Amino acid sequence: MVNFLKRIGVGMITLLLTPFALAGFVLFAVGTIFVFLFYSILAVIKYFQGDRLKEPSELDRRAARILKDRLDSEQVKDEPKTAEQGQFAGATINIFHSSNPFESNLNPLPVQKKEDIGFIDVEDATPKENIEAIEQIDSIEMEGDDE
Amino acid sequence: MNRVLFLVKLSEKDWRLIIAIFLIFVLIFLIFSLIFDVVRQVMRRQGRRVDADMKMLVEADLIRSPKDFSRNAHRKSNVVLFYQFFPPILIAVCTTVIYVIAMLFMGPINLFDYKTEGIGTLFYIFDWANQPRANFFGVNLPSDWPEVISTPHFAPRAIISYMVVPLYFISLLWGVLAIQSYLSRFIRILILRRKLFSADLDDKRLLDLSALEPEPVEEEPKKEEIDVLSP
Repeated sequence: MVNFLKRIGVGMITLLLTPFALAGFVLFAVGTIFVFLFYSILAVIKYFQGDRLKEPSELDRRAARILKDRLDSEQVKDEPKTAEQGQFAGATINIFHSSNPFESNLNPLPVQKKEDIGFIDVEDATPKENIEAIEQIDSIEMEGDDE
Repeated sequence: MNRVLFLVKLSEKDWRLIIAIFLIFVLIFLIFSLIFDVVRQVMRRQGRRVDADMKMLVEADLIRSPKDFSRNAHRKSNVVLFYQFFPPILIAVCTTVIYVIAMLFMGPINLFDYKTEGIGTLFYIFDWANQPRANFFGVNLPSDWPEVISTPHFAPRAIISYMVVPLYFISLLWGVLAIQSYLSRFIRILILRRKLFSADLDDKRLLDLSALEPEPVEEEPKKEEIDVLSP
């Protein structure tokens, strides 16, 4: 019922404002015709210059170039690394750790821990990465000792 | 008091008439409300064209100010207007050429005549000027349908009108839609111009750092001191 009354109210206001809206529309239409005439002249000039009105502007081209570059850089990021080459390509060194050094190495740490320690690529690993990995192992040992 | 008594004195027929008029008004308001809804939806959809046209420029961060946005958006909207408005104008011009050529051969043609040469020959024509009217509470209102003065019939001389009037009508409708679309884009540009550069600090919370001691301000050495210090 409230919605119905609201609708009636909207209809009443619309009916009352319609003449003003139409007057405004007519004024706007007159302005629009002037804009159209101006752009017609512009279109003719551009036509004789061998150009088109719909042709993208310099700003549009710049925007397209920026977005294309952005898209390309995102694609490069998403692409997987190229296949490694060499004798030990793809080989990894799994470093297992146990808190007791006298225990066997056959009980590895949980998978999550392994990820923390990391997999060192034989080919790609730099000395710095190796040092970082060793430091990580040391820190885990220290934590184990504390426990 | 007399007015209330006047309402009591109304006959059954008068009450029925009042209810009928009331229902007619409700129906008219409902129809206008629906028209308003349709126009609003159509204009909203037409305005989306601005979003599509300006998406690239905005996403590439090439729009630096509301003025910049407005200028670029209006330029694009004007170009769209030119391409949308061109076909109806072309139709209207071609129709006018046909009409003028026909008049050169056939003499003046009244496009809306209902007897021999206008589009009115295809419709029922009512004698609105002599419509029966009746007094209702002191107001003179139409009380019946007017007489029919012309029924639909084919007139050979009206062939030009049969061609020209629909073409003008299509051109007019197309033109009005193009203008409406331009108006929708115009409004959308005004909205986006404000919205794109607006800031909302509602959820922003700052720390009250007034308790901090004021930092000592180092005074710059006077010019005389500099002169003394310098060798």
